[in-house]
Amino acid sequence: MNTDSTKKIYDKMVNQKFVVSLMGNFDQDLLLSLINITENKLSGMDVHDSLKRKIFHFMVECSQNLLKSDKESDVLSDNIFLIGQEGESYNVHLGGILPKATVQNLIETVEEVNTLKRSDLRKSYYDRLFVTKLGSDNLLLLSMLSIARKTGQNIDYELIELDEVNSFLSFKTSITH
Amino acid sequence: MSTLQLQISGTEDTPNITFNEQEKEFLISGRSLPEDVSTFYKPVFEWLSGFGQNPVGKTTFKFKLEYFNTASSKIILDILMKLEDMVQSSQAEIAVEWHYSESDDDMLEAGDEYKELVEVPFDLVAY
Amino acid sequence: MNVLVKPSLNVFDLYTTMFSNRVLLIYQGLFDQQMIKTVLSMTEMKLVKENVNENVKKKVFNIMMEGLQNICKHQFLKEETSHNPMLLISRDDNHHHIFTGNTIHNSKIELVSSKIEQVNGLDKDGLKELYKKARLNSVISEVGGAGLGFIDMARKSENPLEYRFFPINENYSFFILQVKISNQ
Repeated sequence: MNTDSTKKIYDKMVNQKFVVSLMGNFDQDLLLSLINITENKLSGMDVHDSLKRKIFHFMVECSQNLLKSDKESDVLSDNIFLIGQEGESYNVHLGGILPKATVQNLIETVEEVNTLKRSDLRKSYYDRLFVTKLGSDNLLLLSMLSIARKTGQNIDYELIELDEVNSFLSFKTSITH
Repeated sequence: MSTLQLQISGTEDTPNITFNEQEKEFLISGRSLPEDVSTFYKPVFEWLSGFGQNPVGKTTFKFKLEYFNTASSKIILDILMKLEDMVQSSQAEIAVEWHYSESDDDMLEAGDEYKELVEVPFDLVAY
Repeated sequence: MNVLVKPSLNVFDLYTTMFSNRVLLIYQGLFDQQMIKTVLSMTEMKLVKENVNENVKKKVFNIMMEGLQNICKHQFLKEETSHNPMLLISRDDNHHHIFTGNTIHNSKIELVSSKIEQVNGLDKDGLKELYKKARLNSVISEVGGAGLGFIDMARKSENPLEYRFFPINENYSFFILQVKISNQ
């Protein structure tokens, strides 16, 4: 890498209007820092509190529940976070490399949640909340229902198969004023 | 062993817990988004069990949260159901106050929804 | 390769670009105290897993701190907010690279360039002398501060500093500095 190639990467981010972008090891501390930084940035852009709350919820749930897996390879443990502006909307992306089996489950769950109507989401959420037992990785569906409810949007994703073992999966939400 | 008091200071991702029988203060406030909610809230449930055996007088449990993640929403439901149990089994005088910032529609909505789910006197309080 | 990509945006493209360039860490945005702490601890975590000796890791870490300080000093330019500062750490077989990027007013380009050229033209002893002199004359000014930083980075990395100015508009450019640390 040199200054030119660095600039190219930087430009890709700037051109796509990403106001914050980060790639690295995600853990709880990083999540909290990211939220602070994003909050500072968004406040500077006069973003409404209710919008910020939706963005943070997406970040928390994706990072804590959706992109979690038992990763064997450290090299593949990096996640990417991007938040950018597109007109009146804020696009938030959170993604990483995951084992295929995990990805399959995630996609099936997302598709299931995306078929639900707004009015059904609430009931589904609380039905699920009652039967959920903590500590048994059961939070995936609940988490997605929660994201769908809060953002009022479908959960979009970008999926690319890398090889027999892994895929790249990135979740996206677009939140509008 | 005294179960009169439980005090946990809030952090960036965990709420402030103040359960003080003597001062009659029962408050969960701040932000709740720890990775491991079960571990964090264990003392809360232990305290509630102890309290439940001998609830004294009128007790108001206050929730004053800015944010909680999905895992925490489950814990909150569990806490409320525990309070509901106490009300139904030992006729304890327990009430819940759900505090929310006036500008926080999400928190108001959550309070509304919890109110519908449990049989405990439940007030929504704006600040 | 099976591609089911929604046409809008290529997050994957960004991810793979960074992955294939062996980027250990990249952050673009504002830098505050907490973010710096986070970035430092992320770097530490990454370096622990790297197969290089302790000396190299220490250098990378220290130079990064230096770079971060520079970014912090220069990140708030009222008139030019479209370009956030940036930090990128990558490696190849022979070196670890630290890139810092921030907006700079064009009037400062000449001074910054000459400071870097001066530093690049000196050997180990020359740098030591320059550092001593600069410390004694410690001018409390923005550019003065940056000057000390360049000397320090050159001394620690033991490699010439690379740099480029990319024009943004008629008044501002984006300054990228690259520090190379040999993996020995």
